[in-house]
Amino acid sequence: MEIISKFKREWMLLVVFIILALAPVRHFLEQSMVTHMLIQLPALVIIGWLATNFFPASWKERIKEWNRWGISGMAFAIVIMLYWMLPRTLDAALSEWPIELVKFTTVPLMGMALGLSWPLLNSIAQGVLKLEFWATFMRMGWLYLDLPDRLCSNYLLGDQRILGQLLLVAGTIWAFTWMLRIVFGVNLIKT
Amino acid sequence: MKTFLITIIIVFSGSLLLWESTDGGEAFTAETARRLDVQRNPRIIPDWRLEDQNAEVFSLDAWRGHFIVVDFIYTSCPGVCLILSSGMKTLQDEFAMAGNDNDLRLLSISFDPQTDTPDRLREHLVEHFSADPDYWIAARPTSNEQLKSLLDFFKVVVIPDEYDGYTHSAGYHVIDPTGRLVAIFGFEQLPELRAYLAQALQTEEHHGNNQ
Amino acid sequence: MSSTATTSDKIEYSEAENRNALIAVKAHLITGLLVFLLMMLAGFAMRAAQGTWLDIPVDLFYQIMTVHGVGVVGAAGLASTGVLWYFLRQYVRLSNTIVWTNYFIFLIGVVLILGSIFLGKYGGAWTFLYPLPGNSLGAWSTGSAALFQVGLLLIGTGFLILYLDFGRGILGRYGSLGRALGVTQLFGMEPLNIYHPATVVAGTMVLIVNFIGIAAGAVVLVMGLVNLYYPEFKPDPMLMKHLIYFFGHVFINVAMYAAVVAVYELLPRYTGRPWKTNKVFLAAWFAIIFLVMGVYPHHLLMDFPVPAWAAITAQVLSFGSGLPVLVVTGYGALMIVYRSGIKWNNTTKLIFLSLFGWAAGVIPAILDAMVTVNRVFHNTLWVPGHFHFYLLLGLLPMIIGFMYHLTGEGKEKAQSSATDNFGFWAYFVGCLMTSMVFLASGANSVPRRWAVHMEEWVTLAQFGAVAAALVLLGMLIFVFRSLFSLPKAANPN
Repeated sequence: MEIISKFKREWMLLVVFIILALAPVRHFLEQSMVTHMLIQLPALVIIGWLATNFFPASWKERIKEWNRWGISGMAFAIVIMLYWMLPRTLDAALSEWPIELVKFTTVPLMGMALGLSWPLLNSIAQGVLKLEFWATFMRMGWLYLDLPDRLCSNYLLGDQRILGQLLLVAGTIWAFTWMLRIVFGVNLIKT
Repeated sequence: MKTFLITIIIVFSGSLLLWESTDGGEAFTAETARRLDVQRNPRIIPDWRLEDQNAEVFSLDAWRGHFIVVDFIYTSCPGVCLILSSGMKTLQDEFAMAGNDNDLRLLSISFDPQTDTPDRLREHLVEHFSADPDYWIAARPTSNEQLKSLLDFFKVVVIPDEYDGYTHSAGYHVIDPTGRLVAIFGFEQLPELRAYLAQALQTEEHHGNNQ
Repeated sequence: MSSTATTSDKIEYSEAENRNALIAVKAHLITGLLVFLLMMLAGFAMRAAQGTWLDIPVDLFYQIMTVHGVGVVGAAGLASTGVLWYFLRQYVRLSNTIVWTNYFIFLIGVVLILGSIFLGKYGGAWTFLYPLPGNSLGAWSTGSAALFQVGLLLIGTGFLILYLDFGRGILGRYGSLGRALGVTQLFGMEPLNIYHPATVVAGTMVLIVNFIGIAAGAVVLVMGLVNLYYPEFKPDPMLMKHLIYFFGHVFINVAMYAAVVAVYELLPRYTGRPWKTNKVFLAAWFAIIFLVMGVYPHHLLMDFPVPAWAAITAQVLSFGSGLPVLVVTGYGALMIVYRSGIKWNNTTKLIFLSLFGWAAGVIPAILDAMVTVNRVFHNTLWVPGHFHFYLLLGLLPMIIGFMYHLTGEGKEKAQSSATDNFGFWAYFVGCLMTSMVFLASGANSVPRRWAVHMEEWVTLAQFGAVAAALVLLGMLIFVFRSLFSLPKAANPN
């Protein structure tokens, strides 16, 4: 029973990935900067992350030899993240199919790298990275909100502004829950 | 040790990747990238045959030997096209009608050929911006394929906006006398464009006189 | 009975760990004091230049002013962290590697900042107030302004790492920061424990507030960098200013709250009476978390776009913030010392001086925080008067007193030598005079941040220079002590 359900979940992940890659769904999500960056990309990362749960233990051991303390995995994840934070690569993914293909492979790979490396990471490093990610949310939100010009040729300025607001809201909620947990020991989300 | 090695490789190749994909840390957006690209690698423009405001065939080759500034517009545009067009008007007064042999030519291409009939183009050009049709022509592509090849060549992106109009890459595209696309200026860079043209036209004149 | 941690259950470290930790603390103190000395020299040079005794080119003056600001803030952060870390590690498990990591990151940051100032000619003041760094009119390059901010960012990251270790240690022992702060005791969810360590309370407050301050700094510094390289991005200057002042004010303010553990830890040792925690004490520290984060606008009250309600809130918060911890600390200290037969040596004298400086420093601070006064006083020397008072007479004596303690004064029951005595009085008089001359200049509307002073102000500046020379003299003796007696001294416990 256990094995079957695990098997099923593995397939579920693949199905979700294929659905995301289907042309209509892809076009729908890529129509707006908001859904592209806040739904499609995070979904691909999460799929990659969850996929690591189904890796055989022997693989993980082999990878771990090359990924002590999760350092190389994090370095990989950060490079990929920076790459997809460049406005022009996002534009290119829309106009050139090879780049779109690269997106659909590297972003889940980044998720896998995160899934394999985050638990191995020293808790101090986790803290620094978490704050850095949070700060990136706030910085990007602010930037998108204040920039007079569009960053992506394929998206409207209004879209960019909405994304900026959403990032700031998300960052604020994140900071708030984080604070509740650390200062008062309140866990809003059971982890 | 293995981790160390692979981390070094990742960081190194990652930096290289980011360096390469931003043209050496200079172009982060597609817009700056296309400007930088033509600056570094000027491209010969194909000889498109467009339909001008008098419904006649217009060939870009007819203006070979002149500097040409091209902008992309649609006549029902309420925003940035108006700024571009008034910039073109400034260029017309300053450089095109200056009265020497190597003067400037201006071309406004509509990317909305369904709406922008020759009549509308003429109205836009002559009535709204008092253009002199000897120097400034408005034209539309004659087919969808031609429109696509035009936009692809100039890497101009046009997307529909929420007011039934378009949001699009707005800039002045400079074509030199040998028919190459050599520079792109943003709509906010009119002063820079004027300085560029002043110098380019002057060197061209010297060049002509020496021959 | 994990909840009733008494002072007796301290963390056990290995011999080697303790030795290494002591070296780390001494490195923090010596580096901090040396930087302070150099910055006092810079301060003296500026006052002498304003007093026409020294000829400094104007651009160099602003570079010196920049390095003076950033150097003092950095040294205050580093040295006070050394004090806090020394005591905090006795209650929660802290890592030596991390404290050294922060130390070396700090040094790298210092190198970047010095490079940006003296090689890159950056002279836009340590507050890197947007849009000044990007508008130098040719005095410095974009690159050097960026280097300065990258240096600050790096230093911030180092402290962040250290605070995360504080957090790990405190959570490991107390479960939540609220418990470590004593909030649970304050609100009756747990019985009051009078032996709940004051150091843990202070350490937790420092961690929370500075973590938030550095987070704000991380955002605002990067936004400044984006603007430097992408000038089309023009963030709202008021928002930038608020974030910068929040970050800067919190960081320097917290240095004092970090160093004050020296009072809680050392006075009981020299009087033989324990420092007892009570509800008022816990309430004061709980309140100060919010107050410290809310007071920075008293440096912005003269900005006319600040709405009236915000200015009034800032004034109320500023009035409130100086007091709670000061009162409980001052009162507690007096109670401990009263009829205890305390031995007056350098340590205790300096600790007492710090309490005086902290208490008296409230007066110029509160005056500055009054909206009506601030409108007139703000860009005058009153403001440097306010923070020189706090730092020279409040913060530094805590750090120097702790340094004397580490040289082993308590053990030997040694009387302070004539040299030390002289140093103390030169320092005390010099500092008092420095601050008073600043305040007097401010009251006479002498502007701050002017390289060249008008003729009417020159006399005041000359008084300032004399005072600064006196401070330097005293400090020189303290630094000599730290260089010659500190390195070989054994741990006084």
